[in-house]
Amino acid sequence: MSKVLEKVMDAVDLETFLVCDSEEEAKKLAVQMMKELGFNDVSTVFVQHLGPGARVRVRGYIYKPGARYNWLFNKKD
Amino acid sequence: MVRTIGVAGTAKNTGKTTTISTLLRHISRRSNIKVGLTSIGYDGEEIDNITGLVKPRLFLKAGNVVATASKLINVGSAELEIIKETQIFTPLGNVIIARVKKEGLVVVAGPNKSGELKKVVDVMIEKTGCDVVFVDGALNRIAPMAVAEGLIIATGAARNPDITELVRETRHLCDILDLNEAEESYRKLLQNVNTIAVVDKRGQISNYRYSALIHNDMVPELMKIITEDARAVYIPAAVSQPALEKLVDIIDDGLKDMIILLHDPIKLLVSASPGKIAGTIDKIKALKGRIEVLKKVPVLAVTVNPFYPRYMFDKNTYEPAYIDENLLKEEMQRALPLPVVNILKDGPDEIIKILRL
Amino acid sequence: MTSQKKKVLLAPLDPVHDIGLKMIKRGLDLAGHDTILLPPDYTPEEIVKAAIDNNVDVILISRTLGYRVAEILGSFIDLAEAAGLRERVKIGIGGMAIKPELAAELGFDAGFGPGTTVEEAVAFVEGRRYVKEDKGARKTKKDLTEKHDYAFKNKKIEKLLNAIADEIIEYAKGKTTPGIERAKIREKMFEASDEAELRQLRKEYAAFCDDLVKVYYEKGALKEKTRQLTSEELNALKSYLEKTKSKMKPSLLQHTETNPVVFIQYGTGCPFMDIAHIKTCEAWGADGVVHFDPSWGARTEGFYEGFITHEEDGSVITYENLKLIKDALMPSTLWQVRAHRGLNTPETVFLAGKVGADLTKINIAYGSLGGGTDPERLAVDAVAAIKYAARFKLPFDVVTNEELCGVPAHKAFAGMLIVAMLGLKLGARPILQPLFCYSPEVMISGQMEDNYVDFNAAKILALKSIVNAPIWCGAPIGFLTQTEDRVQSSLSTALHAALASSLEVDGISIASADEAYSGGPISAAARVDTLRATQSAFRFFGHTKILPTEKAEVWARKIVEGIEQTLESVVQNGSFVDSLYKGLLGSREEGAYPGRAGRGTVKNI
Repeated sequence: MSKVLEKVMDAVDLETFLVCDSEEEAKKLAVQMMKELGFNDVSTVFVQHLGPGARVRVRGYIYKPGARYNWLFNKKD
Repeated sequence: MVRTIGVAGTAKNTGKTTTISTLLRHISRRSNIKVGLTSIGYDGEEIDNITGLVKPRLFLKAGNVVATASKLINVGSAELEIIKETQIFTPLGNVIIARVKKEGLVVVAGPNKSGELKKVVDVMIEKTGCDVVFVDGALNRIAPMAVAEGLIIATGAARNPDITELVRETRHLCDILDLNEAEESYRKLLQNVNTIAVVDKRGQISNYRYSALIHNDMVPELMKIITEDARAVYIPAAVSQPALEKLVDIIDDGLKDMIILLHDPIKLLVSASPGKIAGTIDKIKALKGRIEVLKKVPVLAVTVNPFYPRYMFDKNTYEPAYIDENLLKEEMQRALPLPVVNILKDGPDEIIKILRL
Repeated sequence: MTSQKKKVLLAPLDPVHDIGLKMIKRGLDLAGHDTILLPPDYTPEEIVKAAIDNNVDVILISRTLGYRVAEILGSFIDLAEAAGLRERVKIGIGGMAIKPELAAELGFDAGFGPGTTVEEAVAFVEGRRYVKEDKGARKTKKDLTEKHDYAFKNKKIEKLLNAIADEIIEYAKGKTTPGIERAKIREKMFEASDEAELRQLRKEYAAFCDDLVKVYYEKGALKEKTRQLTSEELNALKSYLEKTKSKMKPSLLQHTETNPVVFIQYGTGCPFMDIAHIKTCEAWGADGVVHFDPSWGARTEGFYEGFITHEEDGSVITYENLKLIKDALMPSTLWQVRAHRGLNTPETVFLAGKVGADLTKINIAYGSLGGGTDPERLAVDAVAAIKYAARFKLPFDVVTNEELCGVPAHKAFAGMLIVAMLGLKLGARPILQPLFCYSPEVMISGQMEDNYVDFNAAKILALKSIVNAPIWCGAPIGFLTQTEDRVQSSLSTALHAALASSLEVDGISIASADEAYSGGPISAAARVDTLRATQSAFRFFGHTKILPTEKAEVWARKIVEGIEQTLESVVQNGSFVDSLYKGLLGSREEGAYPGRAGRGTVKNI
């Protein structure tokens, strides 16, 4: 995990507008985008497809409850 | 030996901080010199406040002294030990004078007014025993540098990427800073005069209520006390070039028996481009008049920097760009009777030699 | 005016007047200073001359920044210096891009950037050190019940409630449950003087527990996905909290004194993540936090001990976990540990009281009709729990979540009022918690076809017409109106908050923007979203009222009539517990099923 991502309290949300044909495609693209960016634990929070494309919010969890949160361990760089 | 050295830039990114940091690194290597450092602005940060480009920071060795704002004491990598907390206020807290306990980078924001700068520099030299104090400039600001005993001017493409224009301007700037000092008698007579004053042939002084001549409207009123007997007009504070030009136009031929006296050349530099000011000075000389100062601020050297931040319209950002560095240095050297140094390329040796450190 | 009168020159170094400069001028005028506002587009020379001519003490310049503008401002300062102004005149600069660092670089005495208050500029003029008014530091813990005397305006309902509450107290007399016994043993554990006694008490405690918990007391084993926190983690938490607490400058959500107290709910499963979220919510202005325990905890007899984390929703209740959270809170934060529905209700209230919680949550009707606990068991447990609440002076709210099962509001309210009256009789201070949501009842009957305002307003109007009791809208407000879109979700929460405020309730519980998202844990960012939205709604409406249509009054009357009829039927039935089984407070047809957890565990002493 990158040093910056360790500072994320729990999750990274990525919001954008995808040019695509359906909600299903949007979901697929959104998850693929997150995987390509290196996120493992990915889920689609919001997707709405209308006309030209889809408004999406997709989430990559860095820490889920019970994990070892690196920000807690106060390491200076 | 010149002990208070101001490093003034003609614009942002003209290499002022590079000049000062190169000098500091070099002098720091020699243990017998105790260096003091302060700034009339805030110039030690990594990212330029306005253009977003990276800027270097200032290095000090253990034993050196720095005067900086309280909020910046723990910002750099150097470990500082507070010697004196002054009551001098800056937007980043009061100015602190501190000794470097462990060498490293410092971030400096010192006094920003000449009166306060003088106080701080005096403490650094007299109380903490600095052999030399460098005063870092800020932006194009020069007014507080009137306190310095010698100036290093940093200029370059960031001021103007046209070499011919830049050289001409620098020449004018150095000429203005090199204006003659007035005779001893005038210096004695006027040393405690705080308003514009006219000295007649008997040495009698008439005062005008303003200390600065910064607006055309002031000239007609001033003319009322400039009689046939007037031998000198003394302006202790700022002089704007248009007002000076108007004064010269009105006195006209009368100037041939008269001296225009300023406290220091910097008072002339704050209102117009050096080119315009030089034009007015030429006019005075053509009328056989004289323009002199009570206190010179000698220019010790000029550093030139080929770098400039080029604005990219399509990206709305600044990108690094360079002009021909050899041509820049050659042309500048041809125009000036002073050492001209490209600090990044030539290093600090030539300047160090002049400073006799 | 405390300081000397100052003469201030305000000058825009811009082609247009800066609104900020005008606001500062107004502030300075009000503070009794002389101000001169120059027209826009003066040259630096003209500004300096005006300063000299007027013999001013302070110059305030405003300027929008661009690349060369820095040089222009630097030149201005140079001119002012060379003109001899700097030694006696203070010069400040304001503008969108101004930061203290930039003001220092430009050589000004002060810089006023975005977010600068007029008071800050006035302090600069007066030469005072500006101390930012720290609203968060002034934050004090609110008492939701303080303005209420529980006087009944509806005497008929009061009489009915009296009869039912008396019957419940009579019913519970001479009865005990494993839950009550465990609470008693837990109390003894705190008084135990040596390890041997404690061991003995643990043994006794384990005897009243389900196997899942028994094995912990016998062998230290925890259920799956559950583990003890390590000492390394606990130490890290300690330093994290020290650092975080020192940086807390909480924002304030309320804009007027009538805005309700705002609660958030937490229960990520991990006390550390809970604390991280709590600190985040506190920083963004939450006034209170509600502890959610795991659903299996409510159906399991007995509690574990120690610092425990688990990877499911809801945070495990142990004395140690609660203590950890309590110690993390700001002194002003209201803390509720809910005990409303499960088999550990008395012990939860005891632990909450012991640790120092401010509030708890108890409702027999919801707990047994929608929460899965046997009505008889919960009735007996609740009486014991309410007694603990009274002893520890913990006000408790009475939720009406059975509405979410489909029980109509008037029946849920009848159950709520019964428990509230029971609380009053046992010396506690109950808080009414009506749902402020898009409930199944209205989905079917259409009261929210036109708007979300009228029926929610009707509920509050109905309750206010019955009794002067504190009202805390739950939970969370706007439930089932939010979608997975965080903007819509936050907006809906904010509008419900504004409506609740307009109805002058005492408290609200708000969701995060992740309310409708079920794919994973709530994120900290989603919590910030709704807190900011709520703050913005409070700011927008101020003291303005939202005007419901005439239907609100009509439905309020209907709700009151429904409550009366429901209570009458319970009185006629004779037994409250039996009424729960019979569906008088919510029937199987309506979606309410009397719970089975703990059935047959009530014993006569």
